[in-house]
Amino acid sequence: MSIHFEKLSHVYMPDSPFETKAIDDVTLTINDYEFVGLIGHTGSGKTTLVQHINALLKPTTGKVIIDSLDINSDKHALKELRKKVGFVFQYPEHQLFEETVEKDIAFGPKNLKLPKEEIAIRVEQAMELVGLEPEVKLRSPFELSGGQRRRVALAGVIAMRPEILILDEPTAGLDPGGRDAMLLMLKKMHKKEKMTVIMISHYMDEIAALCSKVLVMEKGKPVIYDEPKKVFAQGERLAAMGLDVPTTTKLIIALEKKDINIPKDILTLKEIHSYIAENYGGDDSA
Amino acid sequence: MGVMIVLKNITLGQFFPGSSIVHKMDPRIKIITVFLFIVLIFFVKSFYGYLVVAVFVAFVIMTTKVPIKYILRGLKPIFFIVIITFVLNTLMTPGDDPYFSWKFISITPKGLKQASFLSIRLVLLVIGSQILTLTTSPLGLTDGIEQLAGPLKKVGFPAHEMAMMMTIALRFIPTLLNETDRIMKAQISRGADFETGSLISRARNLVPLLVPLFVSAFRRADELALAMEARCYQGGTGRTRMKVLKMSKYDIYGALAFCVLIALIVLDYILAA
Ligand SMILES: Nc1ncnc2c1ncn2[C@@H]1O[C@H](COP(=O)(O)OP(=O)(O)OP(=O)(O)O)[C@@H](O)[C@H]1O
Ligand SMILES: [Mg+2]
Repeated sequence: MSIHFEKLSHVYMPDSPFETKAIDDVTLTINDYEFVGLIGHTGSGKTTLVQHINALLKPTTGKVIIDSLDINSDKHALKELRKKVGFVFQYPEHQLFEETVEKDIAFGPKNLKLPKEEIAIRVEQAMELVGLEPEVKLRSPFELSGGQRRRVALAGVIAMRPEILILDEPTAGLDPGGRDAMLLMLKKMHKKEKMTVIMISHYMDEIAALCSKVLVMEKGKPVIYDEPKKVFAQGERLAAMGLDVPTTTKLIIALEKKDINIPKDILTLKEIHSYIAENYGGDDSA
Repeated sequence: MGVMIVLKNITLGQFFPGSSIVHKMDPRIKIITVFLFIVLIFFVKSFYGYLVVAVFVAFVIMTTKVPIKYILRGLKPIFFIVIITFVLNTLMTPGDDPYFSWKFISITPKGLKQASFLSIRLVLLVIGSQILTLTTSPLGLTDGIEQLAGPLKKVGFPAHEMAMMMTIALRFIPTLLNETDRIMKAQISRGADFETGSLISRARNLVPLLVPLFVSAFRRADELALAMEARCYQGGTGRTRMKVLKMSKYDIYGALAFCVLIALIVLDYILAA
């Protein structure tokens, strides 16, 4: 599903001394099946922007249009919309509440009023997709590890089979192993379920590895929306916004000082490797 | 999204930051002044007296630079009480020369006067205490209360513990509100419904919100207790403060202005007697 913001603005606590313009006149289209990485300095309005996509926040002015439907125009459309947009909040493991993992994952599908058998199938598939062993089904979510709990929360959203999946810093607070597993899972899911994915992250390596587009926000405005290669080639501009570049880009800059010049739009170690092999001789077996 | 709108409108202790003389006054002086002000209002005997108080209050509000809108917003909850007080007092006070009378109901000059006085008193009372909470940060307030209640420690009143509890509660209200908002949104996007249905089904629908909220509150309490212990917190005895409440010239200005008001009210009292 495509997402279109039209002149969207959002003001928190209007007419008070704490008034904040979190989103400032955003016009932007995100195409179907895109995997968008959303980056920006803290407080730049990333979370606020994505919460408009399933009408958790209402625009102060402007519109959000999803597949040619203005989502705030019609109350009945809201329920349908929420079926189609899955939202994984920051630290989603804090939202678990049921006695067993199985029941918690089934909460969403149950609210969709699906038949029992269908729910059971979905729970099973969601657990498999996020890499949870079937044995944990009957355990309490509160006795699992943090990483496992996050998988349960993610499965709870996946089980609703959303067409748009929004993830707010899905890897925050995970250990490197858990992070890699999470990323691999997202990649697989994006391919398999043909979803449009928007992932907020502060880790540029993740963004470089996964995303087809990068959206950079600054002070409530989208300043860059482009392919990762093109975005991360503008290292100085990003640094001015308090943002980092991926490790690979840093490597390229370091190599530049040693007079090894690699184009900055290369993003994976593999590509760097073969580029050096090709252009600077040496053998490829290393 | 009814509940969310409610959450959005709760401003913490309604503090309105600023740098006016009133803001800079020592919270202790402000608390005492407001207390005296409330007592004082009950001694006003004439319309002129109320006029003086009203002018004084208006003057203070102007000095604080708090938009009048905020003061009015604070009056909203007592609006009905004022109306009811006024109507009942007007109708139920017996007196001479009624403008209108029917059975035990009558409208008399005395009734009207009494009703207006009571309503004005109520409004002034609320505005007075509002000026205190609008111009004093919640932390300043608890600090002030703790110090003012200090002498009560001698008779075993846990002034420090009370103040610490209030401070911690105040500190965590925004955190828990944020958390509520986030969990609520998370469950709404999983299809939870917090707004429709019968009373019982609504109560049941709150479970997905309340369970995570309690879990997180307990976790935070645990962490905070640990952090406080790790920094050797052991209650109030022997504890010093980084920011000691100090009186300044602003307190003298405030106190002087208030003394003028007292003098005028005393004058009003004597003249009316
Ligand atoms: N519920 C709220 N009430 C008032 N102001 C808010 C609220 N949520 C966010 N803001 C303000 O809106 C601005 C944007 O916040 P937002 O949470 O969208 O930023 P973000 O880009 O997600 O930041 P982070 O990377 O820290 O998560 C900030 O200035 C923030 O203080
Ligand atoms: Mg955020």
